Amino acid sequence: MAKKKTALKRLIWQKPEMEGGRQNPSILRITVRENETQIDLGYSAYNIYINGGWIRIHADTYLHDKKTGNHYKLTKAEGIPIAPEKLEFQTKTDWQYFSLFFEPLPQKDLIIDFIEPDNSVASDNGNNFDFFGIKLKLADALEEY
Amino acid sequence: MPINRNAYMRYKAIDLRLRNRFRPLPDMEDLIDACAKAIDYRPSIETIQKDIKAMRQDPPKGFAAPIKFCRRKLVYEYTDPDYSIDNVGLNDSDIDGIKKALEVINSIGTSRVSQQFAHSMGKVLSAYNEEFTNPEKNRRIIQTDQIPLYRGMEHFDVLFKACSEEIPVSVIHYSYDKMSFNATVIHPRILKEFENRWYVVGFSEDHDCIRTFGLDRLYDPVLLKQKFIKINQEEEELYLKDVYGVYPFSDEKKQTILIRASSLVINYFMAYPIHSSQKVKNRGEYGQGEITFDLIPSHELIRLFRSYGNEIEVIQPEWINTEIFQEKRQWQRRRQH
Repeated sequence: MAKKKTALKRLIWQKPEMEGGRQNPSILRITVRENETQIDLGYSAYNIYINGGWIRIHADTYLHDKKTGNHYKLTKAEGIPIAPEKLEFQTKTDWQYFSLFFEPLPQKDLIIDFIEPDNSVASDNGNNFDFFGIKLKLADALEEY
Repeated sequence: MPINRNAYMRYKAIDLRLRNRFRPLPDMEDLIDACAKAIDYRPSIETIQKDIKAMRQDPPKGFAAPIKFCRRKLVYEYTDPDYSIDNVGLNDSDIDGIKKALEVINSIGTSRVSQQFAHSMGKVLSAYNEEFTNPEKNRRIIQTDQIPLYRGMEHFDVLFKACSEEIPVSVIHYSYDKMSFNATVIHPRILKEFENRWYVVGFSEDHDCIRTFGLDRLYDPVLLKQKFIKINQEEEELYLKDVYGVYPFSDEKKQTILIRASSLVINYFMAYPIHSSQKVKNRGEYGQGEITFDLIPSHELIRLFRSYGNEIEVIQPEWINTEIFQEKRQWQRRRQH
């Protein structure tokens, strides 16, 4: 008899604990669904740049499972352009909320890295959006309604 | 007088029972049984008798229902077998009332609420070949402040659902003041409008207290499957009733605020009281006087006082005067940068 497939839960981690990486943008929320992983980030323009500078995301950005070594590719970006396009800020006090979508992570306790590679034309001179050792414990997860 | 919901449900149950062709000629007990199934309790004989009397009345009070009582068999029936209270339409006065209400609601804003209501009422009126607005009268009679584009209004539906069904929500919040993002879970109680801006008020897990969040500063609210935290009723009432505006000072309690004001300001406050606790006293020869309010001081109250410049002076508490001065200085400093 075929085993009935049960739908996976949609799990949410708010402000997940991590070992290191960028403070700005900050990872605000991670949602793991059956078909995708959504990472919501918030960025406040720096006052060291003219008119607040600009942001963009490298198309080859991925999530890296530290235990298995598996990579999960970026599939979609909302609120931030894919390099070489840029979102230019107007002022030093601007901000941007954006969401990045990746291939679905497995629903188990994980420690992941968020890596934006800098080995191509889209290099942002070391200003990549990298986050290391993001802890996603099932026990800490909230469930989407 | 409007028909209350319970009464309307009984009328519907009676109507349905009288139209049941498989079980014709119901007696009083049958009608009570039918009503008991539709509502949560068993109505009395007197209630059903009153309901029948009310249904027989002509519109707008009743439905002109042709209900006949057979004294010999002690049963009820419609003399017109095709009659149903569902077929009773809107009269001219009803349609006129809907149109006026639509104009008022539409004038309040281009929010989803007014759009949805207009859409629903449009459907009702279309059944009567009535236009939503009078085509010969292409001008608005009522005008209120309107903001055509409002950031965050797209969250209205999900937050309304969260408030009405008591569902916690994960939200991303951007603070204009701190210029930073935060993620929190709120247990929303109400949606509140103040000066054409919408806010959601509820218990914030991150702040561990009741808080107000402007819809314009929220991103991507997500409903959560988790236990809803209810705010203490007393705390909620205090927070909602005894505040002018939406952002009370968190470390301040309800207190008497006393201002001295010019005749001009007194006239405005008397015409448009800002709170039910407002009292005007000690009027002088030239109309000047004092006003007291029993309120939790809020940022909006200070902003209101500041808008009157030298026409008012805050006597009590003294710190509000200092706050007004400081805010003005901060703003001037920001402007210089």
